[in-house]
This record gives sequence, C-alpha cells and structure tokens, in this order.
Amino acid sequence: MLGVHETISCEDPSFPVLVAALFAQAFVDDREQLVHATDNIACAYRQLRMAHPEYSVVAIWDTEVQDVRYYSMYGHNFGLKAAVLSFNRHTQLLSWAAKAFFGVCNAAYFDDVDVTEPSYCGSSGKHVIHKLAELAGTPFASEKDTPFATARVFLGVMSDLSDFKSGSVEMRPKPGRVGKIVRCLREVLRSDKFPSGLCSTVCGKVEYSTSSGASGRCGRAPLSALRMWQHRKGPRKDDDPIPDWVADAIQFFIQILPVLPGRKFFFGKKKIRRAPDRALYGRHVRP
Amino acid sequence: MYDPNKTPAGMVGIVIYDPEDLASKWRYASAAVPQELIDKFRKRKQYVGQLEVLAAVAAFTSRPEQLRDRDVIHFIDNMGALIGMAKGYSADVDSARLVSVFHTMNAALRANVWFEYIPSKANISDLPSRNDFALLQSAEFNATAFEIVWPPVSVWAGEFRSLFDKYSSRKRSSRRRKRS
Repeated sequence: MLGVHETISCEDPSFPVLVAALFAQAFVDDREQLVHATDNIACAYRQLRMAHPEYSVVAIWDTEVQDVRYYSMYGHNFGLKAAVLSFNRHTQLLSWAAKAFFGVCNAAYFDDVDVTEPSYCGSSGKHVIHKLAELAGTPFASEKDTPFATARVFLGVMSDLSDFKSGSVEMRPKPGRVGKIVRCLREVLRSDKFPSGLCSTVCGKVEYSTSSGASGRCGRAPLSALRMWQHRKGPRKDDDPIPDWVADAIQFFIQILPVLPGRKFFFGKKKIRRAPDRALYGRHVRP
Repeated sequence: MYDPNKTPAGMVGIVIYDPEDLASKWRYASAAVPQELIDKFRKRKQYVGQLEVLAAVAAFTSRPEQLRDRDVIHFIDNMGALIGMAKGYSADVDSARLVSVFHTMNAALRANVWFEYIPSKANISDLPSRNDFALLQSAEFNATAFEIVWPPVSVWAGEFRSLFDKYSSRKRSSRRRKRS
C-alpha cells in the first residue's frame, strides 16, 4: 500500500522580521514604516467539521444520572493526530489565499495569524484576512484581535519594528513570560521532579523565548538536555528524581533567561570588503 | 576570521583577519590547552573533538571587543565542531557545554557569526597550531600575536550568569555596528 506522509509547515515568530528583511531588500533606503497585527481563530478546533464524526465519539460522565453518556463530536477533537494536520491545512489555505489573491503579507501558525504590512496599507491586510476567515466559517476571536502597531507579540515573541526606517528591528521575549518560566523552573528544582509533560511545555516556551527568536542559538545545548530528559528511554515516572545534568540545564535557564537582551537585526547598505586571494595566500600557497 | 586548530599535543591556533583593524589586520595566537581545562572534560582516550570546539570558542573569549557587534565569518576545519557551533548543541556533553558557553557569550557580544568549513590544508590557523609562524610573521602578513584567553572554568560549576555579565559589561552604545 502506498503510504502518504504529510508534515506540518508553519512560519515561526520571526515572521515579522522576515517581512522587514524582504521590504528592506526591495525598497533599500525608501523604506516605509512597517506595522503588524495578530489574530486568533475563535474556538479553533470546534469550528472545523470532521469528515467522519461517527468515528469521533466522546464519553462524558453525567453527574445527574450517574452514568456515561456518549456524544458524536462534529468538530475537530483534541488528541487526534489527524486533527492537527487537518486544522493547519485549513489556516495555511487561508493564509495562501490572502497572499496569492490579495498580496497580504501574512503567516499562520495553526490558529494564530500575523499580518505585517507598511503603515500606508491602512489595515487592509487585516480586513482581507478577516473576510476570508469569515467566508471559510472560522471567524477570528474579537477579544484577541490586536490592532496594527509597530511592536506586537506573535507566538510569544515580541517583534519591535519601530526602528525599521532607521535600519533595525528587534525581537525579544514577551514581557512577563521569562518570569513565569523562571518561577516554574525554580519550583522544579525545589521539588526535584520534572514530569515529561511539564518538561515538554517548558521546552516549547523556552525555545520560542530564546533560541528560535530572540537570542540566536543561546540555550540550545541545555535545551537538548531537557529534551533528552523528556524523551528518555525505559520506564518513566512523573516523580523520577532529576539527575545532575538536567539540574545543570535548568540552572542555566534560571540564570540566563532574565538577562538575555533582545536580538537586533540590521538592514541597509552593506559594505562588503573582500581581500584578494593574493593578500590571503600570496606566494605562500601551501600544497 | 580564520579559526583554529589541532595537533596531537593539544595545541590550538587562531588567526583573525580584520580589514578594519588599523593596528594590525592579521592577528594570531597559539597555545597549549591548560591541563586545568582538560581535567574538566570527561575521561577519554583523546580530546580532538572537544579541543576543536574549545579553539573555536577561545577565538571569542580572547578578542571579545574586536568581535562585538560585528559580522564574522568563522572558518573551522573540523566538521563536528563546525556543526556543533552552528547548531548550538552537540551530542557530546563536554562539547555541548563549550558550545553553550559560546552562544551565551555571543548573546552578550552580539556578533553575527557565519560558520564555514575549510579544509585543514587551506586553513591558515593550522600553521600557528603547529608552531609554524613563518608565514604570519613575514613582511606580507606582518601579523601581531595575541594571548589566548580560555573560557572560564567556573562555567563547569554552573556559573553562566557571570559569564554573560562578563562579556556584556562593556557597553556597545557608542559603537556603531560594523560589517567586515
């Protein structure tokens, strides 16, 4: 039987910076101020209908009749592997349609959408993406509708485009997030327990806050130690004591996360100096 | 910038080419790895991979102010060290710790580093690592020697915060970002 393998393809929190880089490349010194805004699809999974709801049955304990009740679930169900791919396919289609037919610079990460555009666009990109989402039957949540601004949080990372015209943009972790992660890690060290589920959550937050967005590859090595702990082989218990190498990795993040600066990206004319080969090797070329 | 490496006795060599360095465009360093650092590694028959990473990191610990806020092309002639530095982690614990030292330090230095492979025979840093300074000291290169500053041993005791503070202490405010 022919196997079909589908992988998820999404943008990451650096999307606004990517757009800034492309605009800087295209318009060089005639850059206009960029702004970006984010949206979130309301009750994401529940809005998309299953192809075969008869196969998705939820059991709930009914407290009134003291018995189990079964329901067919028409929306996407948390925990179904296929739901992840299916939902992502839907938002990627919306994103692609906005790009291809309306020229909107946008990116979707499951139910999160970011639109980055020059300020003279007058929020037209957001209008398009809202309209498309409505037509598709998955409108955005009004309470999570953030208006256009130069600095917005997308996927837990703040992208600040306010200095774009003068040639730089900055990414930094969302305010308050670092404090929460550090408090959580301190508690892990104190209790000497780091369940795999919690480890997975912390790794995801740390990864977005440091490595992938704000601070280059800083923290990748200790993060890989935490991932090894999360996926360790053999019998696993939630109250397994933490080995030294995991405690080291946790200590690293407790110390470093609060002091990490944002990451700046620079645009503008690049002066490239290249030394001629002769200057590097001259007559002394080695065999 | 050209980077490091090797020899059987644990020697490392570093060569930096900086066209904007008015004092000396070429700088080089060569030194044997201190036993104190070797002792921090896990016991093994040889430390080639770890020393390759150590040499790469030592380039930044030795000349941090020269590389601060700069665009740097870092040539390494060892694929394991190159991939470790570029990816930010390594399966080997000792190498992973050194790589982590580099990226923590670089979060403070904010150097924009591109890692590139170079065959050993084309690697100019191979010369000082073998105590061959003839080319670098020739009239054409007129390179200046500098002292290697090794990564602080305290990071093995988990003092990452002090590492970050050490390299972020010099403020970058007055200096404009340079590209070379």
